[in-house]
Amino acid sequence: MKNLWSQLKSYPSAVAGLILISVLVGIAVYALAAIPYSEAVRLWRGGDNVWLETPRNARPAWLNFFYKEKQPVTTVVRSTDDPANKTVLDLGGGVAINDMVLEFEFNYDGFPTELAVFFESVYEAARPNVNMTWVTPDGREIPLSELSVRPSEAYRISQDTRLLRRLNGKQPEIALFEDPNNPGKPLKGTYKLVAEGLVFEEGSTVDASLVVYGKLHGLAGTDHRRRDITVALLWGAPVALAFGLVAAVGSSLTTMMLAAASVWFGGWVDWVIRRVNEIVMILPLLPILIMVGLFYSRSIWAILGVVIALGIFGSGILSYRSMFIQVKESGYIEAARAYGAGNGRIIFRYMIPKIIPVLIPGFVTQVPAYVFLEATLSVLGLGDPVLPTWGKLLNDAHSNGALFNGYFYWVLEPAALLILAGLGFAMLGFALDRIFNPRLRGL
Amino acid sequence: MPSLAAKQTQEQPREQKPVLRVENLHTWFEVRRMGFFKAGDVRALDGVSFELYAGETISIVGESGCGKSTLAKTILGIHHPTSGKIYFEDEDISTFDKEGWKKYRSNIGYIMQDPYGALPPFMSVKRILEEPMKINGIKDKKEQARRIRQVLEEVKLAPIEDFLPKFPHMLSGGQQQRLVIARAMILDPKMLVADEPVSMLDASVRVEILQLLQGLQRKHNLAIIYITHDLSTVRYFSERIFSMYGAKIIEKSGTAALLKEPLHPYTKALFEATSDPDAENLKTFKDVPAGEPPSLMNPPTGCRFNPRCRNMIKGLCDKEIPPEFQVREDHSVACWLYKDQEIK
Repeated sequence: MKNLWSQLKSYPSAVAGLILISVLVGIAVYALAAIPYSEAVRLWRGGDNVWLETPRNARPAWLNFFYKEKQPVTTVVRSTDDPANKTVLDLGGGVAINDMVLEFEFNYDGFPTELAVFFESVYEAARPNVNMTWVTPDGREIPLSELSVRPSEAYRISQDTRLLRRLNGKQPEIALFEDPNNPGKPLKGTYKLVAEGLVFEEGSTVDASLVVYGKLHGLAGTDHRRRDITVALLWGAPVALAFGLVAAVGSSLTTMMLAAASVWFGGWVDWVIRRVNEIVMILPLLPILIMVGLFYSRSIWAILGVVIALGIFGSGILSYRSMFIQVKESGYIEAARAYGAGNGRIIFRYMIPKIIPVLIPGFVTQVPAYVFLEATLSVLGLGDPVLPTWGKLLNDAHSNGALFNGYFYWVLEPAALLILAGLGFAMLGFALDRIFNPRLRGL
Repeated sequence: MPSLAAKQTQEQPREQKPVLRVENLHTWFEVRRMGFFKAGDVRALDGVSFELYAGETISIVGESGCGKSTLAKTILGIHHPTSGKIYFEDEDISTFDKEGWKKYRSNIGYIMQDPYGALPPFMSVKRILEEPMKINGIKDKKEQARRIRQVLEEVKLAPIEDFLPKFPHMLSGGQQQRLVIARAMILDPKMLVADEPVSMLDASVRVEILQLLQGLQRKHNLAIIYITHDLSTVRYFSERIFSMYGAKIIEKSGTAALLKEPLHPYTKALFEATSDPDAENLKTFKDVPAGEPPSLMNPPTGCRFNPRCRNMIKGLCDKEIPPEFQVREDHSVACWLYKDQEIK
């Protein structure tokens, strides 16, 4: 083991591969620790109030670093953030004015994508009434709307058609920010939303939060349902690694045991294993997986089971078989029989350890094949319905026309992770192959 | 081999019981056509009988494919006899249950031709020696350590602590064969089966290994079956020589008598073929019989050697199988030429 490590260190590709794999494992561990399974499922299902304050189809925030014209990220101002944002003027008889001033700096070169105000209110019978005014940095006051507020109320400024008409058909998120002296450019400075809330009952309150949706969001951007892609990128790592490793280890170990049993027992055992192998070899994997996905279960574990069951058979069993035939005739097996080793002991302690070194590189290079298979199934729409995975990101991106709508990040991010996973395991596998099979080494 | 004292053919103390008694042993392997239909049998062992006593060595000589190794493997329980009986200390081994087999296997050590092939390359010396004990019910760690120490001392692999963690490829050929012998001895057997134990070793190491085996034999009063091609070693190592041809034992004799005067035409030819580094050999012509070893699937009728034999008696040798003729006290031969010389 020590020896293996020192040999690995002499292959730069193995070191690079190990680093890539450990980065992926790090991501996977972080994902499992930071976002528990149930939380991941909840976030990805994206119920009513999970992704209220994220923009739709936003690019990753770090792109601003490369842009000459800085694009806005999402700004959220709440009346509860700071006591100074809200002043209550009691008029007596339960009637009070909740004067909310939501102030924010806007120093970007691009317009926001949407504007919305979310209200939370407490009352018994009489709804609070809110009157809103938009104040630009240069002091213009634009009345927005007046509405009575239910306990949870969303006022989407961008979708207010009456406001749209008043603004001469210009989208509010543009008209409210545009510099009058420099059309097409936003005015930089401090904007204010003044919301005058009138409550009519003792103990009744109203609070507002303003969301200025930006064009950029977070580390990885968001998708068409406002979900943060980071969640899927993070959670894709443990799913992909688990799927790839379990499938590769499960199928290659079982293959090896079957091949060993086939060779050791010979006779009808060998005959049955070889015939079953020949039959399963011609069964097409992908159509069977599609059928399982359609008619039985789309759970990733059911698919994993089928992948392992079908992956056991194939050319692997034949090549292992030919290796075992050689091992079976070796002297130490005969010696072991002479001192009474049983069938199980001979297969597991004497035959399999002999070819494990051949197996390890093969199985390391098999891992990405299974990772890609899982992604392929997800792209075909047969992914696990609840778990976020890299393949499902690609599927969503594809079905929402990500590439011709310019959402390149939506495709490139999961693809890059898939490529890194493949690259890491492949580089490690090739180096291991050279270590275990010295004949492959170059001069 | 100057350091090996030539063994004297002693008069066997026949009153003691044999360690191993083999009676009319047949081991046939079925040959199938297309995996199902029986095409015939390879008669690898066809009617072999002998007795082996404690402290005694039998050499079995014969050409490749004559059934020597099959005999060894049948005795070891790797192949199962088609018919005939093997008695170990008067117990029929075919009646053994699991415990009986364990006991039987603990009593036979096996030493093979290729020491490197005989050792699992992925096990350390310690594990190689532990395996037979684990399988045969010696579970106590202290007892295991004691036995490992004892056998390694006996085969002179010292210092023991240095060898225990090593793997077979780190040992030299001679050390590997010592380890194989240690493994054969670890269960404290009463008998060793040595299938060409020195044929793959350097000439310099051969003597050491044979001396080692002889030393072990004296110390433990071992019975040894020594299978070999190498006729030059048999005289130093064995009391009796069996010559095999075509799955049968054709001549049994004390070593000295056989070396002085082999009787069977095949044994004669075998001894003729032995190379001897002597300049005189340039002038002499070695009369080696032509032809090939017999097919064991379809052996010749009568004496199996008859197609190659120069002394073949037409109508007898190619028709009837020769019985064993006891020509001398310790010398019997299965050849029609000696039918009149039998002592009564």
